[in-house]
Amino acid sequence: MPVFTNLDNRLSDAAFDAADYHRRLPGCQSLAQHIALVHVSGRERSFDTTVANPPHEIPTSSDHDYYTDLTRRAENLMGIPPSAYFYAGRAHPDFGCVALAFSAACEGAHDGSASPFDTGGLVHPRRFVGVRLVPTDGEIERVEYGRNSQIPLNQWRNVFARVLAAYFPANIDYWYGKPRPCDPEGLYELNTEWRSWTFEIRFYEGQSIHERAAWCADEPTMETLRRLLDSQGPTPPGDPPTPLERFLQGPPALEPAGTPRFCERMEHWIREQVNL
Amino acid sequence: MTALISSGLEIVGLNGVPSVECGRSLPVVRRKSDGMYSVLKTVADPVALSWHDEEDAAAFAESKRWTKLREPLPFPASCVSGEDGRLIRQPMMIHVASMLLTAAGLSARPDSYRDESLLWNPLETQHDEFRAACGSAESVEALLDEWGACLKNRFDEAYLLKTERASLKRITDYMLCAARSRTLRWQAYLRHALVQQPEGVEQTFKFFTKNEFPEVPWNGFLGAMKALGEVLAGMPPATPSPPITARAKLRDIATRPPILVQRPAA
Repeated sequence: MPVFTNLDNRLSDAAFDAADYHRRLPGCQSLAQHIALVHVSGRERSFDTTVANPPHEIPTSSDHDYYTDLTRRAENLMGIPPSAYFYAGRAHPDFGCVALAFSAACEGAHDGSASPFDTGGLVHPRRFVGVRLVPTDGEIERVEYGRNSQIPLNQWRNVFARVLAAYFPANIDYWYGKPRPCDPEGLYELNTEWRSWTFEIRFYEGQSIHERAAWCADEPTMETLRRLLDSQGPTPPGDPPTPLERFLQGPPALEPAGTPRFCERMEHWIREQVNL
Repeated sequence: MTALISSGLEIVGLNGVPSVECGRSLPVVRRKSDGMYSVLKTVADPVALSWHDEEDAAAFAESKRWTKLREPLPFPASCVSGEDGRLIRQPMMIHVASMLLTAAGLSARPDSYRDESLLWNPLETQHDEFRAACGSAESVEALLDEWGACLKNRFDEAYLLKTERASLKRITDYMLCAARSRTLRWQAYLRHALVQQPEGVEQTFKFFTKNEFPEVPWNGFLGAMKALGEVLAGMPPATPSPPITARAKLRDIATRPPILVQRPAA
């Protein structure tokens, strides 16, 4: 049973604090409506290449250079179409050197789905996401659990609000703590890593980098972009901007000189947007 | 929450790839107990780390998410509690190419900085020109700034000598790579503008300088750049040794070994 199933009925369980849930739910709903989606990019393909070359977007997993075979394997098993991947409000430096945030409004242009954990970790050969399944913790059971945990794109924010209010003692614990260990399959009991409780959002089409709400990069990336601009020279008046100029005309980097802690900086910005 | 104990970990690489001549990045560490890898983005919140197996680590290195050191490095002593070996300060990787040190007038990478020893190791898949070390985040930032200051001095000397523009620009590119403090970055942007293609000055200002110094209008930047150019052009040449007095010259002549002049052939 996914962590969000029958949540209203399960709130009477002693492990939950029903009164606290109802008190916090409106605030969690507000946070959920505004929390940004984050994609960390820039290793599989250097970020300046993504900026300079069409289609200037975060691709779906159909792009074999950008995503690994493990991603496509997880999608095949769980019946997920090739997707572009985001995390709700979280940025992890393992995935690249540039964190891009997208506002809730960008979801309107997409088909997609979400899951309340990292699906790749669930069906990874090393089983990075632990669960307690019956009759056995086999791939068939994991795939079924993964399929049952999928949420339509237009409903995930509502589910996220309820999960946040029910399982997390405080909203900030989504970033700095961990959820209460009280789901039947032990997703929140057996795991100590973020990937077991961070919501994964998937778009079935690529997402333009020009529609970002914010971005932050490490220092070498900022320096590389500056040198690229230097080498291009200015565009004559009346000509369309180069792809790099178009990118730089958008929201400026949160840290204009870059920072090795670009993910922390991005998460700080995201929390500010939801008044945390 | 389980604390991170330095003896249970080793530094095996850096996050990202050295795409420019110097810089800093988060360390990649390996847990000795189970061989799992992580980018060490925090020492205060171990739950925030994500761990990857050997296969993933190899794939990350292959795809240039991480760059592996040829040999693991120990944690800097300043980041480790002397009592129980816990990591108490954020370690940071620093990398530098020897071409930048040469441009800065430095003969070698420092063996230590601010009483922290620095072990410089080569990186896998990178030219030997690059070496990386690990220090505390504070020391690494200060060392980068120190290199930035050396590059500034070298630029000022070279500008006075009317060195070719491409060489001057290379120095300012390196300076922008190294400089981390606000003051030094401002000085770097001014010097860069002095020697870059004139058509590009406003563009760099608009998309980069302005974002770091939003309070400075274009005309203010232009004025500061012109003033700097005039000051640098009017500076006296560097005088590395004290002026030689007439008395010293006579003493020198008196004590210098005689130069044997060969009698011209008849």
